[in-house]
Amino acid sequence: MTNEANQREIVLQVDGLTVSLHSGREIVSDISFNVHAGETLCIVGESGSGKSVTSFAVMQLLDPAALRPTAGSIRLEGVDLLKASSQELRRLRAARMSMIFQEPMTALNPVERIGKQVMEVLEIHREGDHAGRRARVLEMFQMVKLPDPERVFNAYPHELSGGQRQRVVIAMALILRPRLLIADEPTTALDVTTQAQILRLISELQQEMGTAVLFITHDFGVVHDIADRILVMNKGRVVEQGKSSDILTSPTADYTRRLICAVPSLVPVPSRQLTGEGVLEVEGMAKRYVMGSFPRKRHFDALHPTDLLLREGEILGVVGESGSGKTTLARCIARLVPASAGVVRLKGASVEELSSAEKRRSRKHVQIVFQDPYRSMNSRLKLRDIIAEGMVNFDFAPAEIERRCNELVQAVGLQPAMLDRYPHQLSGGQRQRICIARALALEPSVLICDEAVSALDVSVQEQVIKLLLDLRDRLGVAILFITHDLRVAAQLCDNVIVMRNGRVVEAGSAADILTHPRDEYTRYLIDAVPAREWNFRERVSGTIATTG
Amino acid sequence: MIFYILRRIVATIPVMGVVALLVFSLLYLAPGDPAVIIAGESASTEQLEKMRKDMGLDQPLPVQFAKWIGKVASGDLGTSLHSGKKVSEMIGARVGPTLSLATVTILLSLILAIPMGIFAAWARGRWLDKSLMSIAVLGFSTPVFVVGYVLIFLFSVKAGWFPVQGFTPISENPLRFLRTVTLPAFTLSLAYVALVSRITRSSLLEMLGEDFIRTARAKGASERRVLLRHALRNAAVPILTVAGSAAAFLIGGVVVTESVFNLPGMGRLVVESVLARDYPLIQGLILLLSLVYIGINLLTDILYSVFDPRIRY
Repeated sequence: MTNEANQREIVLQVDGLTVSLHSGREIVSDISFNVHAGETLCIVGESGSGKSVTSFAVMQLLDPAALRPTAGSIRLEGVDLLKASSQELRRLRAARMSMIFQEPMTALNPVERIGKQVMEVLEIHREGDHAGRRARVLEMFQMVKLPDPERVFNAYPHELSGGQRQRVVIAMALILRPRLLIADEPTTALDVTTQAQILRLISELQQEMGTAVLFITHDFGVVHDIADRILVMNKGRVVEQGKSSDILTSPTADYTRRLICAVPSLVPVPSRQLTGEGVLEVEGMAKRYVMGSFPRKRHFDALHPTDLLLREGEILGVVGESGSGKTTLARCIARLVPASAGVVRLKGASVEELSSAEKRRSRKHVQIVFQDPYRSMNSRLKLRDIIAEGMVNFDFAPAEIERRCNELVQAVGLQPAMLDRYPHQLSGGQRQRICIARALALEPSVLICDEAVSALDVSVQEQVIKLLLDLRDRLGVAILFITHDLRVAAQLCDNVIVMRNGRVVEAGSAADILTHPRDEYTRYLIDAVPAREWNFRERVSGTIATTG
Repeated sequence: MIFYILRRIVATIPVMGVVALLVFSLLYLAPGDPAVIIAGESASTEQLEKMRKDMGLDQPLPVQFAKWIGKVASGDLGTSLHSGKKVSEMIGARVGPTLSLATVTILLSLILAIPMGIFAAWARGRWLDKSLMSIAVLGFSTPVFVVGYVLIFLFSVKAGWFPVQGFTPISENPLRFLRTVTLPAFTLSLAYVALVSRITRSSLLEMLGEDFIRTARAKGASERRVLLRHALRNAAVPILTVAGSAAAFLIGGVVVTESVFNLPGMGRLVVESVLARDYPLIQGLILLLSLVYIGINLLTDILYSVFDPRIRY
């Protein structure tokens, strides 16, 4: 593949590129790579590695108020983009180089019809007349396999699903058949099944058009499935680059090896014997949302009647795609949204029958950790106050609060000295630890984690998973673990329930369900996991140096 | 869309009912006997008795309210105590100047403020932005009567370009109308120009940080296209909210401006009626102004959904 690729024409040539903040701090330092026609180069790295900055630098879409390229060159088919005028750049964008983005939900203008937005590309680049443009857009919608192109053409973005929007963005990016396509985490915000479809679509169009693809991702599963060559970045520098199969099996850098080993395996951990008593019983829990008003009143069943049982020391995974009702289930159990029906029993006592004051007190037994550690803490409170807030609400003595804050922060692997900091002074992983400490402060019998590791880098994810397992063993806390990531579920959960469209389609032990799924939908979900047959930890050769 | 508009219109009905009730109660909330208030302190007992019978004041309150609503609905707002003329005619004679002043002011504000906001957002952080926003702060912080008198002194008394006071209806002489309305409208609009231009700038800047703006740039769109086609329409909702409230506040503002420029509008009628304790006239004026408020809010709500297809309550 590489030999063949080397003979092909070089579309993008980045040489010694350095991007700096105005303060002079280098965000990306001296990186060089080429992308050939028809080839996919994956840039892999954790958050803060500079991979997105690199891709935006190529498109020259960096915010000039914050970042600017300070050295090196970026050549697109021989044209040095760093020396090009803004007019020239505008001519090249969309026509010769295009970009698709991470967030399909926000990448489109919410107040303009889809068709008009895609036609705008042709309008800007003065291609054809109105009727001709319209025909080309509809043709392109067919190429990206959008159902009912006419309807999509006249729809607004909020009327389409995430996957459909991403197809629209791809149509927009490829309608002028650019030589280079930059894809910045284009499937990270999508469900695995949609991700599989979008990845297939990109590679089909790439084959057909001979496009060079620069693909930015943090997901080694995706890398395994699509990359011809890989470039690994860390802290703004190139760690190594080479052929995909070489790097995945025998990386030369320790950093790469550690990253690859941190990818959780899809092979479930062996089942444990669960002897604990049931702490949380849910019976017939349902949630119906009523929307709109007369005469267009509609309702939507986010959750059909669902039962579950959670034992002391058990980790129960709830897996499913977006819209499957898993978050609704979690929020109804935590009583963050009122359920439409159903009974919750905590240690045998029905919550429904409590007085409203007792209901409030019962909140301490069920605590929740949210997905996004950047947005689930009050940024104006010190960590100490964030952790202490629940205890203050439940009238703990001040000395007791102080003691427990220190204990908790150590229990999640941080130093007590950090308690005087504010959330913005922490990394994502540290924040999520604080969120866990906050949830544990009231000694809950049930901890709900709603996609609690999904926003984290694999290396941090690995640490948080270890922390949760450790807390389960030491405190016997029962965990309801909501996730869309079957790899994480395989490493963490004793039992799993699979949800789809607000219903449980399958339930059982994690080992059973992930190895012998009975339901067709479960099988479909497992099939869609990128590189599912690939057990990274076992395939990679060599051992990790114990230092660092 | 049609349903949305109909629902918004239907939703104004209870609001109007409450307004009518409050206006009706005005007479009874004021201290003293309504008949005494209307007939004056010097009236004899027989006169008062006759007055009560004539006006239906001896009937139960709900009956009085129903009758009053019926009369109001047919356009009969009663008779002024002071002049003896019909309230509807008195207001009709005064509504022209106020309405034209308010309309010209709002139009002038939007015409000045939105481009100012766009230019400031385009030149964000540069001198043009800073000077435009300084002008806005100045406009914001200078009281209407100060600006009014200064403008009269400069442009009417010294330069003689505009009349010092008075009003000519647009139907009579459009040119004279413009000359009489320019200074008052400009005076009134300053604060709104400041408000609307600042909100235009800040909501545009907020929009410029959105992902779809980056998409537009990736399409090869020019800065002008990014601002005018993509950012501006998305920024419309906050701009409309402020412009709508501004239009409503404006009605309060005309009371002062009409006094300063001596315009024979509703603002001055309000002042006169309050000073004379002319209750039927006050009632009529409040009712009309409330309807205008409700109308402005309705219009704002409908415009929201025109600019943002996601808004359908």
